[in-house]
Amino acid sequence: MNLKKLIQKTRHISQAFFFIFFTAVVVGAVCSFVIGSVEVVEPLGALQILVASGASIPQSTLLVFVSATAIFIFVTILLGRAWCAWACPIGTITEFTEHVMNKRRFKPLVERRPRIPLKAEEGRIWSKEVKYFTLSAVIISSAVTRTPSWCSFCPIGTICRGTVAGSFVAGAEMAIVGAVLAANVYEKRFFCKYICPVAGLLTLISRFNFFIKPRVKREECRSCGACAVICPEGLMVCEEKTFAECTKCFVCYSKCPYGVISIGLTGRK
Amino acid sequence: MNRRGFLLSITSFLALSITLTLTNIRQSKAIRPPGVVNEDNFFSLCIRCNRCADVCPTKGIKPDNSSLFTLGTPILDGYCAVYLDLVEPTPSKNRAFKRIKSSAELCFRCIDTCPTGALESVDVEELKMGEAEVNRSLCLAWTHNICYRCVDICVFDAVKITARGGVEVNRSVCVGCQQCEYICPVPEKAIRVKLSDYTSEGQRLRSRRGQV
Repeated sequence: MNLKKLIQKTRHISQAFFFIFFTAVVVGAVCSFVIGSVEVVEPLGALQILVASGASIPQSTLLVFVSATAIFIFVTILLGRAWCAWACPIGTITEFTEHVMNKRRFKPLVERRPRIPLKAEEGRIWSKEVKYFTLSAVIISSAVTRTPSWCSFCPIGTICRGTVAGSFVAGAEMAIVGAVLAANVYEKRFFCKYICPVAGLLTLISRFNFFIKPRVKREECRSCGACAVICPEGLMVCEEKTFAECTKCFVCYSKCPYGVISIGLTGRK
Repeated sequence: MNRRGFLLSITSFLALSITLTLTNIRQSKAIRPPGVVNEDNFFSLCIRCNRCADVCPTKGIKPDNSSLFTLGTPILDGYCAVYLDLVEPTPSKNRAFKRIKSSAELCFRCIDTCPTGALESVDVEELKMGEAEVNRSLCLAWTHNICYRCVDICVFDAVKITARGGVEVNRSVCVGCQQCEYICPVPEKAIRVKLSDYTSEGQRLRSRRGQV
């Protein structure tokens, strides 16, 4: 097996491992869990609570949040949005449904179009900035209602608590996850790409991430634009500069038709 | 970002913030796990991670599915053991337990595991989740003068036998642990824990001053 296939196999194993870990093994959910004596709190939850409870927040909670935020920023600067492609349960099941859809000739609508887009944004109505708007909407409504208001909708949390507590059949929760999966028919990883506020928060910080980025051999690249179709995040890899959106899934490396994309440890081209 | 994308973003932003705000209107009559002292504080701190449901030894804490706003917040949908020895309460076990109650180990694992402080640490003397109510037309003690399992199982001595042979709940002593509801043999449950007027106002703590 060559490296291109091996890296995707490794990624799928990692996704399966984290899916089982978060839904069945760990006490709690992605939102908050303990490894050894380290408390991990999901940064969006922490942010919403800070906004929602303001000055009345307990001191011990604040301490947990400070350490959680420090861990989060450190990991994001080191690995960027790797969470989305390697561990997130929603990312895992969306990718799984895509796999099934492709097998059964249900390719996402955007991919089914005959022409290959010349720019990544071309032919797409939705813009990737929508997730920043979601993020700010969540924070504003948390402040207004004094409740972490995204938490009742969050499909990531829904998956974790649903499978653990055996209430997975509950209609409302299923509907949320179902809607996320159904959006894949329009475009692959629709929710992760455009809506998810956690991805918005990660992207904001992964601008400062300088490690493990796709590298393009300029002289051999034929600018075919296939990378923009292949990439789950819809990045035009051969023209991308910052790679803030890159989820380190290495699909571009594995599937570039001319094999000109490699992975560099640092971002320099 | 092109103009179309920008307009779409603004529209979705407004739609989402309005939806989130409208669906997060505070309405809850649920029995909460121990440690929910103030319903408002609880809602501003709970991130619905369900760690409390995972650590609960009786599996009595479950995520709420009753409304979109409360989706995933923990509710007490079983019974609360309060003490670690009472994970599977039986009338005889609880009757023997009352003698060693003062030295017994408290459970409160949900409070210990809560990462955000949504469940505050409470004294067992102040604990209040709800209040039990007896339905006299269903209760076997009132109709046939038999059973009395709730009297035996209540380690807080809140359920008392009346002169007529029925059972009555001393509301100020009851913590609302739902063990009586769990053990009640009547299928429709003749004794049920409900939120009292006092607790539904938001404050879920009692003062047992003057009580034994």
